[in-house]
Amino acid sequence: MKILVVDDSKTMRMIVRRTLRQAGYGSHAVEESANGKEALDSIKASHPDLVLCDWNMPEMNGLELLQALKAEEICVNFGFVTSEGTDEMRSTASENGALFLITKPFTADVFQEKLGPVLS
Amino acid sequence: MSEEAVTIKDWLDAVVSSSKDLASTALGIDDFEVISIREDPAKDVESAFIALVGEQASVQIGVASSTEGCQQLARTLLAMEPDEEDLAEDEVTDAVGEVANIIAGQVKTEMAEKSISVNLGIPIFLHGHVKVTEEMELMIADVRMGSIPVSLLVLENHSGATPN
Repeated sequence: MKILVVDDSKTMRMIVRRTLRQAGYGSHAVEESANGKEALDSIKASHPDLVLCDWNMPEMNGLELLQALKAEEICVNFGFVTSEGTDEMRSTASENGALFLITKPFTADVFQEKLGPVLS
Repeated sequence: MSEEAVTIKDWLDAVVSSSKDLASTALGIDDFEVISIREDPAKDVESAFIALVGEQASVQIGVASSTEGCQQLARTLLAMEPDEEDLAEDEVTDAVGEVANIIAGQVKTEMAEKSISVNLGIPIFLHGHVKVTEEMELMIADVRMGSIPVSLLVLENHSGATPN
């Protein structure tokens, strides 16, 4: 399976990769994008099985990416991994089709709980 | 709680609480101590700031340390081994910015429970000291995360304008 990690912070992309390994998903192929715009191109080109996306990014944020995917009728499993987790944002994420919203800082256990149903 | 009841000390308390949580989870550091609370500007340091701006509030949250402290913070966040080479400046900047981003996200969530709605900006990294104007108020918590000395800053803008 292929996972696309979208975050404008290289550090956070590295931490997400590490947490994926710790959660037992180290055998999956992982690609990276630094913002929503890059991610949209990458999703169209490589069709990942799961997108793990930050919310707050320059160029195109995570919600705008999710809405762009919906507008272009591109179906992909999509979850947010973000520092913000208000009730309003969780509702917005869910209404727009996100499967989950993981807040930073996170643990491997949380990744297993949220990603398990998608990757198993 | 009404918005008038949220003071700069409340913001700082939220920042300290979020930092303690971040230290124990993302950094694996349970040894967290608040050394002092002060209002005078920090001396020259490396700082990552992130703005939280809304109709009811306009603050900036900062995470500051020495060059060596920022390097330690970044290395710890990335779980680097002691024998690995020091990170480059842009990698440290990115990592400390992400620390500020995580703290700010938790603070936003905590403040939302008090009906204070704000949007987060993108982290910026500064070298030097904070200059406080008449329209601003500054409060700083000097803390220790394990062996890493860190200053947590809240800069509140009372003019209502977006900080820059």
